[in-house]
Amino acid sequence: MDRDKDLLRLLYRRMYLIRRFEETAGELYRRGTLLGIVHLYLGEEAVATGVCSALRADDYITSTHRGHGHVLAKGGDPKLLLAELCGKVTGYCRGKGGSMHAADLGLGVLGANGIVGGGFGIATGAALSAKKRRTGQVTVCFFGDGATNQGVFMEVLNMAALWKLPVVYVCENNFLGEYSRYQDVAVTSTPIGARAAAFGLPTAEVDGNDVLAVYDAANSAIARARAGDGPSFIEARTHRLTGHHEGDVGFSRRYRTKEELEEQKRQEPIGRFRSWLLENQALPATEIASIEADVEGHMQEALEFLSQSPAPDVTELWEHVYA
Amino acid sequence: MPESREMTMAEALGEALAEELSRDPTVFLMGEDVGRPGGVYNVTKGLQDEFGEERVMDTPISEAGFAGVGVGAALTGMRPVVEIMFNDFMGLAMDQIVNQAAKLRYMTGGQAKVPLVIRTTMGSGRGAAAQHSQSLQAWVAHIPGLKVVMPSTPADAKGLLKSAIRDDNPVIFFEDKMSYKLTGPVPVGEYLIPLGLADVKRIGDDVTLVATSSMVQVALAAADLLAADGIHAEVVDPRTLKPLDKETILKSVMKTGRAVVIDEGYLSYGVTAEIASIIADEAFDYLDAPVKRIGAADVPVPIARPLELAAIPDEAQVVRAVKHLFGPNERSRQGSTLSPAERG
Amino acid sequence: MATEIYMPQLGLTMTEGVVVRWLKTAGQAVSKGEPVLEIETDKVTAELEAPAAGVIAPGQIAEGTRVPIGGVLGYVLAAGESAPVAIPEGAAATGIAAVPASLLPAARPGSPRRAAASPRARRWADEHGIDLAEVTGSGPGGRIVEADVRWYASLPRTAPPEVVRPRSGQASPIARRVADELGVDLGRVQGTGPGGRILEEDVKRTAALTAQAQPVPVAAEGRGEIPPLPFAPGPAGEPLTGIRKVVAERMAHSFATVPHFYLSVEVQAGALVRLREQLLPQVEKNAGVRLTITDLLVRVCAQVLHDVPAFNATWVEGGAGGVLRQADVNIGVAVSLDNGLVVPVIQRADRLTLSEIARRRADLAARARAGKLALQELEGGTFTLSNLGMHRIDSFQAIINTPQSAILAVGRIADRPYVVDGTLSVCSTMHLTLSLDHRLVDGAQGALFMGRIVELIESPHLLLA
Repeated sequence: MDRDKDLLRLLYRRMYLIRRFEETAGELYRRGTLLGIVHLYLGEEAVATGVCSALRADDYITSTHRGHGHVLAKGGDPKLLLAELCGKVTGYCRGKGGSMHAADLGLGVLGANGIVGGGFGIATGAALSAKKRRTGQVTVCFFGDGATNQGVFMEVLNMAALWKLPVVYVCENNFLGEYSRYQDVAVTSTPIGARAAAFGLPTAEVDGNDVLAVYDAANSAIARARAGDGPSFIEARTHRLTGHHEGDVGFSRRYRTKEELEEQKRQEPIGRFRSWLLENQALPATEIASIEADVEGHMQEALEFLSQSPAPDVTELWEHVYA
Repeated sequence: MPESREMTMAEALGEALAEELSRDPTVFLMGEDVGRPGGVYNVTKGLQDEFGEERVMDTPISEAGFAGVGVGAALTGMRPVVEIMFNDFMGLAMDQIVNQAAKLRYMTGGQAKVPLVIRTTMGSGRGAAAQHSQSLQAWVAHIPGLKVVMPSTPADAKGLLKSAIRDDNPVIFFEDKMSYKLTGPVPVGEYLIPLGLADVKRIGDDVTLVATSSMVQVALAAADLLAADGIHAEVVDPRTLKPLDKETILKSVMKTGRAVVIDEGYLSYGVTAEIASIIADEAFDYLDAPVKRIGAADVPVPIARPLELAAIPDEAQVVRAVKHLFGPNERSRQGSTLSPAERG
Repeated sequence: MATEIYMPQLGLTMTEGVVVRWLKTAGQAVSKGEPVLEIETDKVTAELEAPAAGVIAPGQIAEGTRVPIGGVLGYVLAAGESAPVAIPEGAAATGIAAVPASLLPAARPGSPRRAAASPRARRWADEHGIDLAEVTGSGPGGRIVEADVRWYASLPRTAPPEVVRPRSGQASPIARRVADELGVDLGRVQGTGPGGRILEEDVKRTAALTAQAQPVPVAAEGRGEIPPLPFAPGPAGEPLTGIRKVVAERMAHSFATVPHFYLSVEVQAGALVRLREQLLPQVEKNAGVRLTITDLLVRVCAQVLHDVPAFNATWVEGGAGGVLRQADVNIGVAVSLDNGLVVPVIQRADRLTLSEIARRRADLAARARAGKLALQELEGGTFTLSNLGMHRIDSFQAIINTPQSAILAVGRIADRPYVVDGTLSVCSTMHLTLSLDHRLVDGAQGALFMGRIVELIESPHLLLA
């Protein structure tokens, strides 16, 4: 199948940017420059990229505590995101939100969220709002397998279906909820999608490490929503190649063996996509290399920007509590 | 003097909602039984007929879900007015209220705005028992980023609800369920009462009674009883708990030298503790007596009538508390010469 | 019962003191008021006196011990008495919570009582230089409240011929000893301790000043005894009783001790009279009483006193004397009764509307005539208005109601010849005479004040501005 070259470039660029950003963030964390807890998206790049690349600039997304990938995939600026992670006043949220609350309202990114399942209500509300305003905007709600056990998940599925809201629920199933394996804490005799299907939502299961598969599945769901045909559910199966959060080394052996991790690394999406591009002669190696170099340039820029950015003045403590 | 007419609290609130729905197309209502049934206390009666299902939506029994939907809608250009039928159910939606609505603006460094109103009911006195009789305003007044409003009269309710809807912040609006049938004059025509402005409901110079919501009526009744004994109470109604009009309260206490704070929340760790400590801190040198607090008993509200009545503050309790602030032959207890007309 | 020697509160921020040195040892006899030990706070060293005559009991708190306020330091025993219990060392040394309740002063009948006063009362007392030890409280549990201090302050003082020697509550023992040594009259010393308490440094400062300056006789002069009447009531005379007696004493005291001077004006009353006519129905409606010229004058005076707070002041006796500005404008309105004159006070008149003033005036006057005024209602006045206009009096000079600084005497409104723009005409006019205390105000100041009153009477619409 012939794919639009611009789309392929975009997909590769975005995944690579997320990868390099997260690696940089991990490094900064280990050096002590990054503040607080960070949850890295390494290994899951294809999900955010595939879905967001099917969205319009004015469409909405809600993200999770593992949100850097979503922000960047939606077109976010790595400079502003990195500065925010380090609590600088030049960051997205003037250094007041940090990793778990990064947002770019201008790009429709309604925020990463520190509460598992915190995005369900917000995304469904944004979809309701778009429907009332008749703008044709679609909302994508990103969440993990762990969040599907929050009661509010079921509540919003009911309302989204009842009111036929333009929302796509994308479950990034990496089979881990913090330090517990999914199968230890949830029923697996039925797929996660069955929960959404119970409310009549069309559901799809995709290989979350195949960016084109994700893109195609997302495209259908988004088109359906934009046409006014209501919500859908996508389960994208993937793996996170890091701990739940940086610095939790003590825990990782409890839910994953070294062999399992190695196998998962072999399946990571960027390598797979690169192989696919080369094998199908979709993009030449030189172009791939130049995309990568460009991304490196952006990351350098982000690091320089960071080094020149100050923390917010203490008087900002009292600002933005109320509008 | 503007014309006014007698209305019940429920009617005044309904009128406020109708007016704001007319005025601003981004305003819409959501909640259990608010649409077709017209609201369990008839506040939203007739509104779905007038404005349609899109503007007045019945929700499933999903407090967390529809409160969250309210947040999302407010975040993206709408002005939802969400009803949580009994404030006892706020617990189900606390993440949406406390972790999302209250904090989104701050966490995003000012990018977000959440013009959401959550209307909810409070108060006991009708045998609704422990899980339907609480007054939990202290829970939300504690959280930065939220505004909290508690009207006590129909006129105040209408003006304050309209202001709350026009406010760009999340506002939790408490309506006392026993006061829905309370009647009072409501001005004709458009008017707003700003949030954060207290109202002196009765003038006096011997003691200040700071009272919220239905406790205002209790305080006024107590003031009548006290006046017969020559003690003239001033009743201050904060109307908004957050932001609190400290100035009006302190000015009153600086005049009278004594204060009793009355709220229907549980006595411990609540609204009365906050207001009393502000008075003790900032009007210390003007106090002739310690500041007293009256709240609901620290017990789950029981259903048996005599027990329920004993659990909530009443005028006899207020009168007793005030009298204990004065010595039996204290010189401060003079016969005030204010006439009932002057006291307003 | 043995008498406690305890750690007193000597400063507002003091929470504890240290026992420095016992001047008397166990078994030694002491007389009441004799210094028995020295203590130290972070601000000051002080001597404590024996609260009673007797013998120092054994088991005194050791020198160097830190004791919280109220903690027992030792006992004075009268003949036949014995010390109740050994003072627990731990109790005094470790803090207030450790002091057993039974040892605290409030629980022991023989021990000196410290007044419990509300913050509001303390503030008022501080501002007006009143010693709370002199005031009895009428609040719950005997707490002193503001009203008690105000009442105390409003009592007339008759000063003894010699300069007042402050009682023990007002000067520290060291201060008194130093004053004796240096020959300083404590009555002239301004205390800078809490509540005006005189400290050693205050005495030394006054000594230094007095050495340079001429002693100012202000306090002493004019504060003599009430001169005896030239004739005593004989068999034919009725002794004065009750209200007449009080009035007589107050009048005599005022006349004898206050240097009065008088300012008179004739004002055009037309505007005021017209205003009254116009307001009659509204006031009737608001307050159910008939508006009088007196009410309007009270309103005028309240406004001027509010605008010129220097005049809203009273004279304070005791110590070196002085001016005390009052926060509230409380206007007394003279009401004449069959058996004498009373002056009930309209409190905070500057915050009342005209209708409220009228209502209060009428109510106070009615109750005055019925003999039903509360003592409270005669107190706290800062200014008095006396209107004899209804009695065919054109003008008069009134005697100041001490310790107020002024009184306004009002005569009748009548048509009189008046020159307007060089032409003789007939105008409705009224004579006002303001009596002023020359210690508090001079002629020019009084004239300015009077001028403002005149302005408001002749152009009452200015009250709206």
